Amino acid sequence: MVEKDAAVFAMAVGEACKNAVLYSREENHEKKFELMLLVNEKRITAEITNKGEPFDVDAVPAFNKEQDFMQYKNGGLGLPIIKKFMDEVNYKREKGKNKLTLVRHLPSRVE
Amino acid sequence: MRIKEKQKGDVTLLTLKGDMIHDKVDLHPYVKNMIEEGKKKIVVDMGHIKWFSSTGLGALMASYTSLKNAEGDMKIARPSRKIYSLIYQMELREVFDTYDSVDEAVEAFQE
Repeated sequence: MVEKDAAVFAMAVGEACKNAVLYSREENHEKKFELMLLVNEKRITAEITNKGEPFDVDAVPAFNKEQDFMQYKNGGLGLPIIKKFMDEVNYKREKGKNKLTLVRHLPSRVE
Repeated sequence: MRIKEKQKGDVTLLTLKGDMIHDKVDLHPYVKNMIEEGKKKIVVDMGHIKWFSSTGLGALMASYTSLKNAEGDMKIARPSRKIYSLIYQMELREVFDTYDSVDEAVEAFQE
């Protein structure tokens, strides 16, 4: 994985984990989420699962530089960044849990 | 996050220290106060920032917008490779002028 891919993937996964903590339901004074990373030669995938209110991932567009920057003065940039950097962003609601799957395709190796 | 202010001629240098994450970022309110004081040429030194998230980027974007609306400008000095990579990947290079040193960023206002 080249450095720039690693940097943006880490940033996007970090944003998803931050949201999972912020919006998770508190149980016994704890907020929990699960993170699973899957890597092969073609893609790196992160699955973030948490108990919390469902959300509509399609309601937020990917970041673009023509947007009014002022809307992000108090946050709200996490999901737009995730959608900008990831090749695939999928959301599922399963058994009362949110499952967000982020996929970044990896460049083909030159032999 | 801590902000240290120093005047260099008509340019104000803001040295940021600590983390630009979550709710620890108060850069935009600080910049708005500076604008009210008539300080509209700002260099943000990011050389001491340890952790950076979308919250930090949102604060930079809002600060930039407020300065531009007030006919001012903002330049960024010493961004880490990770921060620079984020600016590059988000296609914000034409928005944020970045420099390798504080002196270069300050001098850029004189050009």
